[in-house]
Amino acid sequence: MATNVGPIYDPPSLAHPFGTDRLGDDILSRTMSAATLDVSITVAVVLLSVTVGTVWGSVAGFFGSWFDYLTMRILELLNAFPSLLLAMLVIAVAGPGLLNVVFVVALLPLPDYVRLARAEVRSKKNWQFAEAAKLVGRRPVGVLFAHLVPNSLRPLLTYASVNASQVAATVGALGFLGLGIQPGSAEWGSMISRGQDAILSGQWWVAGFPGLMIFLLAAAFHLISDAIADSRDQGGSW
Amino acid sequence: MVAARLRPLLRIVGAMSVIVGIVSVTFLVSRVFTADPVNLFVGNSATKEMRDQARKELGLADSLPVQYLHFLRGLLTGDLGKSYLTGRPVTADLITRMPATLELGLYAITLGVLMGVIVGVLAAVFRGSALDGVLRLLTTAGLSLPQFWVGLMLLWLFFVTLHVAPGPSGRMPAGMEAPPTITGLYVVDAVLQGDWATAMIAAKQLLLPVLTLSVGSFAPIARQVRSAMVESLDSDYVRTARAMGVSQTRVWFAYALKPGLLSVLTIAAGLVGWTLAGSVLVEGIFAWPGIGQLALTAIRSSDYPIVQGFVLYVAVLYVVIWALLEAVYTRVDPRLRS
Amino acid sequence: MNASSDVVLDVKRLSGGFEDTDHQILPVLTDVTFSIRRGVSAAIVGESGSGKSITALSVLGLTPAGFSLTAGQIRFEGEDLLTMDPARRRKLSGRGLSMVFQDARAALNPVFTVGWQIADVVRIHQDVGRREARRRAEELLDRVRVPEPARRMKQYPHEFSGGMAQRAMLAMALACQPRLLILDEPTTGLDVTIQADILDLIADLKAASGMTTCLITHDLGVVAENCDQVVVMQQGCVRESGSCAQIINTPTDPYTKQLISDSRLVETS
Repeated sequence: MATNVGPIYDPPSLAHPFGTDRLGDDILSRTMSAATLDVSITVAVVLLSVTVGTVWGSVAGFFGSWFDYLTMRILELLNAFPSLLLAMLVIAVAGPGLLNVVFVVALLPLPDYVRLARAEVRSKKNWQFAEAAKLVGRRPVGVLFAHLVPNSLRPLLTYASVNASQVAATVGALGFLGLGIQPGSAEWGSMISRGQDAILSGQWWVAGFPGLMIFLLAAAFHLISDAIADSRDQGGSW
Repeated sequence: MVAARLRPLLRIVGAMSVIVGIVSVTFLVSRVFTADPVNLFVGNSATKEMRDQARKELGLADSLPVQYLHFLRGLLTGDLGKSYLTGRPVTADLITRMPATLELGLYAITLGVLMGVIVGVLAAVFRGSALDGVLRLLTTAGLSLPQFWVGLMLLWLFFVTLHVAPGPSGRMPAGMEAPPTITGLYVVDAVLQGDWATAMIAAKQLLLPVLTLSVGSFAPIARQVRSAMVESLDSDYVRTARAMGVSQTRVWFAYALKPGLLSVLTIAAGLVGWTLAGSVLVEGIFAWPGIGQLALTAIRSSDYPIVQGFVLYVAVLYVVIWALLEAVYTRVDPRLRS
Repeated sequence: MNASSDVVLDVKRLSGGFEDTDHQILPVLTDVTFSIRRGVSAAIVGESGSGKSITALSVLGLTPAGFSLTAGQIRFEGEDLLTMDPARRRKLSGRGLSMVFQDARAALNPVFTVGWQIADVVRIHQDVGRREARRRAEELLDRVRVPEPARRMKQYPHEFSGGMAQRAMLAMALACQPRLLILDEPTTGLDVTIQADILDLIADLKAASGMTTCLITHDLGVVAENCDQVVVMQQGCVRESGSCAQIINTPTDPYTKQLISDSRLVETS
């Protein structure tokens, strides 16, 4: 990694547009390299959660019976706990690390995806095209994944994008608490945590810029979600 | 069919089993999957005898099922064990710190709901206008701002730069005495004793942390209020109220708002969990001596009795909130009564 | 003008429509013109989509989002409602002119008791306290022949049948003591016997209070029995208007003739 060592706690300037931190590191370059990490974690988490949740929820909704029952009970248990707290507890037990963070944070919205996919599939299970596909002899699993799931994607995508913004914030929060990837690594949350003490002595930029990035990423995902939802009902709702 | 009279009973049993389930899972996870807590007490150079001695004192020498039984028995008597770090009983720690978090959460949720309702109603009433657009941006910002960062930035702006708010010194400025305890909520206690000066000081301490916590909570409320209001403003019953000459503001805040409050309540109840999680982040920033800070320290240092106590506290709080919510539901929405 | 003193409502060349996505107005009302004399029971008749309800809602200023008027006048007791100061117009709604809607169960607020809703309207229009308002609300429920009014006061709209809810709506409208009451399909969706009861009740209330009523309906049979002045509408236009006897017995417009023969009024009357 390139060394960007400059003066310690240098306020934003032409040489260091975001200033430097207590080790003299350039905050702009750290923020940028953290962007790769935070964005990829966010995307990975959402993809993992959407995939597992959709498969689980559609199967439960499509086949019903004991599997559906069990699913609902598990969801209830998961729901009885505020998600960030759950993440903190599991990370505390499992230890920090990239994979742990991805798995734990992906677990949090899982109930919502399962529930969404389940409801969508249940409401469309008896639609004509599903019936028709069954009549021409397609296997149930084929009907489910070839016909029902693709038709349920819009609400899932709308939610996934809202969820992505929450994931970005949760990853940041875990990093801030020192329960993230690796304390001290270039990740927005841990950068904010590094800048926490500097706030009281007036060096707002150390924590300021990484936090601004979390905010912008989260806001972007929200706007995308609004756009997906709006494309259907012409700006009437937000 | 279950007789209607049995239903509350079943609900309580259900709630209890959720609590016991959650607590058991935490127990199991914390004992099985984690580093040996004995390491906290003895150095790396400790002999096997010293370790065994420590293990015995901590009650970790027995087999897991026996430990679990001990744990459950303690639970029934309100004994959650002792902190590995301080040796103080967990229950006492939780109780001492509860008012601080309660005070913070209470004001934060109240402020969040109040702002959310006002923003939501205005956005719905002036839907499609420039004001609606501005409020939409504000709400999206509220949903996207990381709480802990907001806390730090508010601290920098109002304490470091403008000197209008007190620094992160907890519930009282350094060297100030807390008001004598009645409810444990400093502002309320001070007011009850007529000590307005102290009440003001305590309220000032609350200002930034409460603002920080409510920034995130007003936004989901505002969204929900707006969409519920838009729906009821177009409804037949609002049209009726207008045809009967009910005034504009009364139509908004009574006839149109109340039917939408139900969905707002659900979100507000969810906010309790969100605020509790937020308090873990925010209490640290403002040196607030509440449960969140206790939990964070315990999680970081593998102080399992405290962690378990905290999990239990959260689970109980959740179950209670949802039970309350259901009771309030039926009061607010008469259709659910039959 | 002298004639205007006994005309309550005078609608002149009223046009309007819904705005589509390209900001074009798709016409729904075209040159609607009619007037209603004080004290009569008038009716606007037409099939669904004829613009009769939207005309009534325009009079009350309660048109749905997206609809706008493009031309015309609506004079209530000589004053044009459309150019009037909005605050003054709002003051007129309720006590000047009021409206009762189809599907009364949906038109009552689901989260307030029926008694609360009537009493609230009483308090808005009559200068009385909370307790007196409740007493008057109960009295009104009794007047619209709701049995056990005291018990019914405490109930919510979902506990009311359609007919009972329509009576409660009428009680609410009476609480305003309006000079013109518009009734939009007040009996549609009710059982035939209950329809007859409600129409009788409306006639009795009208006789007792002396208010002008305007019934909006698709049912010529109802009109023939209850009204003395009729406006026939089709596709946003007024086809014919005049006294009830004249229009039923000697219709000049082909559409009116069609309506009359469709309703088989000729055979029954």
